Amino acid sequence: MTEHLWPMLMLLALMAGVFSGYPVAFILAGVGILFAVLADVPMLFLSMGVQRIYSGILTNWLLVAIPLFVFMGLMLERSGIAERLMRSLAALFRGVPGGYAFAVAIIGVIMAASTGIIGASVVMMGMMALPAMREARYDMQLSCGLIASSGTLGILLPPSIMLIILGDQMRLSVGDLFLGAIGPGLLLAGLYFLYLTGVAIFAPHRVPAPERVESIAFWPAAWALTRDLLAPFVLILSVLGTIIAGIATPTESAAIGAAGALLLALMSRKLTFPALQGAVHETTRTTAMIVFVMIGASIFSVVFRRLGGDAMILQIFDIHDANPYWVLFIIMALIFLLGFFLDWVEITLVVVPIVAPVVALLDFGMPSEQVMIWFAIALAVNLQTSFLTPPFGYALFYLRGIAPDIPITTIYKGVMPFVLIQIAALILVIFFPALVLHLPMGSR
Amino acid sequence: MSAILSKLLDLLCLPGKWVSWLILPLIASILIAVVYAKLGMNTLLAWDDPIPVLGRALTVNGLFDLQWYIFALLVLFGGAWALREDKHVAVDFLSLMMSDRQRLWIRMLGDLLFLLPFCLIIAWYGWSFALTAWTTGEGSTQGGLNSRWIIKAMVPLSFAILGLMGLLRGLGTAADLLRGQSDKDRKDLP
Repeated sequence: MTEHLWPMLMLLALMAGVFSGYPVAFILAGVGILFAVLADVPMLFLSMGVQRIYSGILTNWLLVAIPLFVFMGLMLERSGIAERLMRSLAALFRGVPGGYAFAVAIIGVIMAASTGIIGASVVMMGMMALPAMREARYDMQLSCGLIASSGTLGILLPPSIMLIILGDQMRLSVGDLFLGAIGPGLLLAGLYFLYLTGVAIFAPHRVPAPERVESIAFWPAAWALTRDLLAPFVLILSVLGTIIAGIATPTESAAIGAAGALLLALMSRKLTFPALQGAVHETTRTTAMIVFVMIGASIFSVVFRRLGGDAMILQIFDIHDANPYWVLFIIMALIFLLGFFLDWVEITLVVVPIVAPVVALLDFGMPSEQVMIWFAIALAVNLQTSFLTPPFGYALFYLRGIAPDIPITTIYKGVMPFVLIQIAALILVIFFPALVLHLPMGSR
Repeated sequence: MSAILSKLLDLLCLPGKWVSWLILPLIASILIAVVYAKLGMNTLLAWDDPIPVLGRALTVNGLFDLQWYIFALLVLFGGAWALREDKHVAVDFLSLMMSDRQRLWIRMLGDLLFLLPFCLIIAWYGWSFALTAWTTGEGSTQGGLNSRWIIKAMVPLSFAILGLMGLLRGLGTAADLLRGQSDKDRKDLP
């Protein structure tokens, strides 16, 4: 036990610091430096930290995709395309029980595949759909749960910033991860649809069709829908298509997407100076926020490794005689629990580098590269759930922020069925790795 | 927190606001590099007399360097700005249950004991790091931009700004705590 005293104390200090509410990036770096001083690590050793910040983070061309994808999402949000899409879909589905619910789920998938900014999708759908659903006397629990969960698909479906960072941390091809996430992402969307269909059939009073349908012409609505679908569709195709076909790197296709989003905003006449300024400012702060956690984590891990932290973790997950699925279960359960309190940035940058080497040593009867892709995507599904789990799921807070009159308990209860769907999807992904691996391996 | 101090902290955010606009040339330069690479060309522009940073030509490799330079600037100078606006990732569910005074205490201790030493160390080693690049005249090894010291010098500069912000905010918060003014001026609360 005493041999692991320093890394143990370091983890405890990290936990205490993180829960104090001070920014995680500086807690990580500060704890690293504090323990370097306490454990008498030569100060010069920390200059390695500077070297790692420079060569591992600042000169990392893959990470250039982060501001580009953030900018693309913000620009799309400001272009008003999603709102128009919501309006035309809702008009088409108006007469059917659960019509609004299906419209929300479809928009969730489209938004997810084109932006991947959780806050934006949840807020947009909450503002657009929630009042309409309430007026149509939808069950508010179901409505809130649906909006929160389909809004969080963006973190999983490519292009996803989380997958870029996971790829960087685990040294996996981001193209493979993007391909691998498509199966589980569509599986989740399919399960949402299945659940909604079940509700519409067996409990139609929760999603009633309006009694009096104003007659609207079908063709104009269908035409408007096609027109509004075309733009995001072309964008999704040009961003994902180029990555998947191997024509462009994630960074290059992110630039294509960012330029496309600018063009769309211009065509929608929404490209004003304040909108553009708002988008570039927000992009800078968001990028700094994410990358600073990486910077802090690199200082922490330099010291943690030096003090024998790696060996300690491997010993804790004593893997020599354990069933690999059991180890995987423990890691997934641990991350699920952490997801109640932490969000994906801390988990991908702090927890993943600690547990990934453990998983790399496990034998699942697959080549180790495939194991890591499969693990990364299962992790991504798990982390998506962390946005939904009470008490501190971010999606729930966003929803609460725009609908302050809805009791938080309604939102909590509403996401429960969707959290169960997430867990079901995670189990499916774990027991059927082909769901993940079929696309990336098939494309080779 | 005094008005002068707030003004000063806002000033330290300015570099972040300026570099934000570089996102647009970043997008443009990647698109140009993609097109040129597809055409199999490397040199965009060439001239006879060498000029600083670029040397004798603007090449696709030079654009690659420019792209991560911009990324590095966004991150480095955005850091202080995000701190000022409380945009950094923080786990706030416990702090939501604390009193304003307790939160100010945590912010002060965090600023002075965690943020400040971190910035000092990075700025200190970053300085010698940049100095080495300056004295050796380090440039790109792949025909990109020359004068690596410029971007390396941004590391100590930006961390000095961030550290100064931590120091000023920490001292300002400490002064507030001493005066017991924690309930006033809510704008500065985390």
